[in-house]
Amino acid sequence: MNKQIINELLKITCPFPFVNLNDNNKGLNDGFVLQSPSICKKKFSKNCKDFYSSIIYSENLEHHTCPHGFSIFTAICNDIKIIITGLISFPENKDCPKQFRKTYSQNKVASEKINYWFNHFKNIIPSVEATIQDRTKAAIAILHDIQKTNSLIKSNAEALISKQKGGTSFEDKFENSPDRLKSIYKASELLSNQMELINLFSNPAMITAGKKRLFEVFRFFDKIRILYLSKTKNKNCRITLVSPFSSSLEAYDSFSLLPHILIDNAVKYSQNNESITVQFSENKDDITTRVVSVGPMIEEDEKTSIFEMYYKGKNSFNYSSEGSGIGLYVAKCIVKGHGGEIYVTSVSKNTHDKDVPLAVNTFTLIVPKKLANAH
Amino acid sequence: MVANIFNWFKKESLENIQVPIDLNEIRKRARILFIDDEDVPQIKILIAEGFSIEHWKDIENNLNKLESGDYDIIFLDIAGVGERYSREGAIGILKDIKKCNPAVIVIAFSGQKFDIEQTKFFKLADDVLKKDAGPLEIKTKIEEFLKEKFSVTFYWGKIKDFLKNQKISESKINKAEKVLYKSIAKRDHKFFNNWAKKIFTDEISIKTLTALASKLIEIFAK
Repeated sequence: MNKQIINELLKITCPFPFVNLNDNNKGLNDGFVLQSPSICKKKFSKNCKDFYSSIIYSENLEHHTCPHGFSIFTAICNDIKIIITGLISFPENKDCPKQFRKTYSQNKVASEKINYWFNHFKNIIPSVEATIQDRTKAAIAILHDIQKTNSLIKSNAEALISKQKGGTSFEDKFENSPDRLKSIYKASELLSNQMELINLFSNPAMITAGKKRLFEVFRFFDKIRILYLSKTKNKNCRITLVSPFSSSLEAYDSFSLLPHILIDNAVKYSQNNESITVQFSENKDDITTRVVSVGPMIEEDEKTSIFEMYYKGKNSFNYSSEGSGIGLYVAKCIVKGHGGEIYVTSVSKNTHDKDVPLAVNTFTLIVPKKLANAH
Repeated sequence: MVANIFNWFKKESLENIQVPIDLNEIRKRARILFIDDEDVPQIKILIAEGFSIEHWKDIENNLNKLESGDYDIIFLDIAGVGERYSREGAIGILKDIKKCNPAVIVIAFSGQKFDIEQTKFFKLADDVLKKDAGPLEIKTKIEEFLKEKFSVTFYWGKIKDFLKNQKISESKINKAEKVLYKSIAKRDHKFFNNWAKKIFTDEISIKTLTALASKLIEIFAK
């Protein structure tokens, strides 16, 4: 199950104080029955986090004593580190100073009660997971009908475009089509991509399904550039693909969604009147693509998190209500499925828009030209 | 002398046989089937483009046509298809087609990609196509597969895979290549069919091999 959901579940069900190492703003949480000792709240620091990180976690709940003498119970559950803290457990804890025992007497808990809660917590995870899956499935099934309708729209739009005069290729005929017809076709293509994004988000195994074929990276980015022309026109910004680039790489069909995700992300968060640049380069074994745009600054500690499911950067959240925290997660999964890597750099522009610091954000995509058999 | 022997072997290698590809001709000859319980609006446009396409809402009593390799490419939906035919539904159909005629290209054409339980179906298929793919995208895929399929290497690859799966020795596979070469040169199935009957005793293996060889010889016959 997704880490964020488990952490939410922990917040709802944990009666004891606990620590979330992934929470950058507030690592220490009160339980719904017992609160963290005030000294912990006052002194909670990087040293405490370092201490928690140094512990070896097992699937069973294990007792440790922190440098201040409080009891800590740790375990690993669905890849999440569970850290119950700020307790004085008995019979294990004999190191807690007398003064703390007196001041925080309400935090004295029998370890068997903590174990009882933990076992209960582990048991509810699969049923919560099943419920979430059922609901997601039901919701997504509705999207199947949307997809059917979209195929009707797209087929008719394509048929009308094919009847246009001038040129022999579809691309030529598209260029010669009336603007409204072009818009219908583009909207249908974008909808199709968005549906595909949901498919891959729901079932990442589909990323490596189907036939591997050669993809001309430039051509796919250019196709998306054309689809986004009206959106970029509204923002008075422009997508520029730097120099034609003819190299191809071996990939599954899912790869074609990457240009959509990265351009969509750049358009959503880029400032009006700023251009978005896509650069291509290659070496012997891989192709590098960089999507450069000006948008909300991505903080150093968010550079990995923004590729996690449902995560939205703090500044992006304040800057725009758009975005679901799905796109970059799927992008990471697609790149991983192709044996490549994706990362972001964010260089401050020392300016603000809507009180949000702006930066030049560069999403870099490095993908091998040839897929390894394992992928 | 050494060079002559090499040339002699080279001559009988199927890899040296080139089939000129005329896409219009292939389009006319190729038989394409959609199995989908719903209407497929893209078909009308593809037929207008010159493709020979049939649409079945389900399998009904047509299983023989699927297994005998009547179709070159099959677009197979998963929802509402094959439930009466197999407990596994469309997955059962896909497995059967692949078993009886490995040269048939099966493309999973479904809006169920989001469903984790159906992943196996998509992974078994030769390719995957989203339900709202436009006629242009479908056409591109069909042509790509047809170009690949109407070649000696495609069928010989399938025959070789089949023989390897049946644990046939490398020397016998080399012999099969020479016999098949002869069948193609003489436009006569019997050389390869007789070889297959010598090697296998079971009906299914003989049927599978001779069907593959017939398709290959057919490419040259027309």
